[in-house]
Amino acid sequence: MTFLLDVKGLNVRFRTEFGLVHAVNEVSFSVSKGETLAVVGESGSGKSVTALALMRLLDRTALIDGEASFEGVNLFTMSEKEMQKIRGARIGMIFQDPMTALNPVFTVGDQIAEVVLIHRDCTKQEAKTRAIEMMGLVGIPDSRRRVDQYPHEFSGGMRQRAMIAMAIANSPSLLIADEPTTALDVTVQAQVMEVIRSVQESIGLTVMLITHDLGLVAGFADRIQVMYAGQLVETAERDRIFYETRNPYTRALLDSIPSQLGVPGTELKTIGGNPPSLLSPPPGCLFQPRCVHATEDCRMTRPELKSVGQNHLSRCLRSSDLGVLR
Amino acid sequence: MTDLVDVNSREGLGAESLSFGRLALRRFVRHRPAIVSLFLLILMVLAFFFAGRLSNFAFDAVDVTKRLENPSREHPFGTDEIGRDLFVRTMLGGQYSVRVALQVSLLATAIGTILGAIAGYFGRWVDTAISQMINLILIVPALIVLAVFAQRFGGSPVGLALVLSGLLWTRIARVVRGVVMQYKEQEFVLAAKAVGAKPGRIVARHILPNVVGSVLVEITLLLGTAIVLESTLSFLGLGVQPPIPTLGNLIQQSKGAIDDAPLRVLLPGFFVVFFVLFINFLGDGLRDALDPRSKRQ
Repeated sequence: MTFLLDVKGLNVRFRTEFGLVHAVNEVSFSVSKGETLAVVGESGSGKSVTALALMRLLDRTALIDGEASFEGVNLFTMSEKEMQKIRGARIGMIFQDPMTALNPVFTVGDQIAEVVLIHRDCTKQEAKTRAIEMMGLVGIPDSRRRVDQYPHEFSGGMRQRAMIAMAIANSPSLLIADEPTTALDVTVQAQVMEVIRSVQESIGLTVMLITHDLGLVAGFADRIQVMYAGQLVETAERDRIFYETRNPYTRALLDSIPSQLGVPGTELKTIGGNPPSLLSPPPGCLFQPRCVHATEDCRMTRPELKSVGQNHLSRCLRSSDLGVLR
Repeated sequence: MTDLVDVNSREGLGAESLSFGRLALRRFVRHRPAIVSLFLLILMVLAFFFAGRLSNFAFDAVDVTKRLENPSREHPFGTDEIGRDLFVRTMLGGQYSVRVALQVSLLATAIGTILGAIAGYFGRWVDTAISQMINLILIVPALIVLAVFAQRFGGSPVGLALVLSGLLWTRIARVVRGVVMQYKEQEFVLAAKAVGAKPGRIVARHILPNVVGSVLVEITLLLGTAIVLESTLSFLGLGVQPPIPTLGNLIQQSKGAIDDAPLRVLLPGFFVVFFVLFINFLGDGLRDALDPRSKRQ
């Protein structure tokens, strides 16, 4: 089986005045065509950096190595010019905050049409027609009138729909959604995810969804990949992550989801402590200081990503003796 | 039963769509001092350019029989010590002064915007180089530099405009650099990169339109500064040289008459002062109108 995107040994380090920060460490994964991969982790786990690295949108302080083959080309070795032809045409991206991701001085239609004009040889009128069509596709009602409105006349959910329209205007094969619903109201989150799903079905899109919200992922992802402190800690099909959890960090994340059946007054479960400094990571398991299953060995030995089942990888020294975590 | 309308689908569709420019224009029109100033400024500039034609005298027509006359119907502003009509000379002087100021603001804005945008967007050593150049220009005492350069290149109105531009672009550059640095970190710039836009397009389309407001305000201040500097230099004899009149050298030529005929000194001065005053009100109005957070209705 061939993959649409195949990342091998991705490392991202940032030069800072205090030294090198290892934001992403030896991350390898692949996404097959039409699939939805969710990348889950808390703030600073390296999930957004991974996405920005793939788009080559990190600034100069970032040192990237590894290999990312996408549709048969390596994203990391091509020239900036070639990369510009990939961005927005073959890979679309949506950002966390639709309030700031649209330029306030142009109409929404202008901004969607611009994406078309950058990559296609067509007239402004054709681009605008395409913009209206795209706005209809992402469920913006009355798109013929909306096309001439400014971002400030749109609500958050509508703006995120407009961002999706921009991202898919050139029918890319991969859509990277970086926390697409984090800045939105809970009621709107589901609508926006529904839009992504319907677009995915209608144009056969592959989606890489980056989020910290496991609840959001539950109904949406085919495969889930959990990151912690710049490392992949567990990856498997969605149901295996939820029902056959093998990594203590994933378990702790799942336990932190507020239960809708919870008894009022019971405390929310949290993961105590903080992620380690990525400037000088401790020698052993990076999650060990916060892990309820940690042993002396965990403090000294850095665990490797090991197969624990069908297409199921987990990074834990005790995965065989702990078994499925509940 | 009444139809239920999906509220979401109707939101924001009520009022007409107003672009930021239209909203700003609306705010500007309601800023009374700015509108009055704009009107008076236009009137003043029109007078500078066309009122001289109403008179029967040329600006350099000497008539020694009519020296140092007081204002009369024939010579509304009186005559100077060799009998030239001061009304025509003052209007023409205003015209040259305004021309110099306009040339300066045009050129200084062009240089300042381009260099400021480059420094702000590309940062790193490019920014360091341009910023240090700006600092260098700013720390050297302006009047001395101007005096030296004006001596060498001044004389003609265009020469003086070039010299002044070379000094005054720094302010625009600093403003543009700051605004560009602020906007290049905005997420919509990242979004533009993510759809494959090239740096030139990003600067021209996504960043510079956001700079226009601040630059417009800065231009009005620049116009005022340019006219004052031009007058100062011409007064000191370092600017535009006679027989071409400017408001500055008109004051200089009649400064001896401050006791006998104060009007002769005050009239050109009056034009300088009011020009700058109106320009500042105009800038004030623009600043309020172009501030997106302005609550003024």
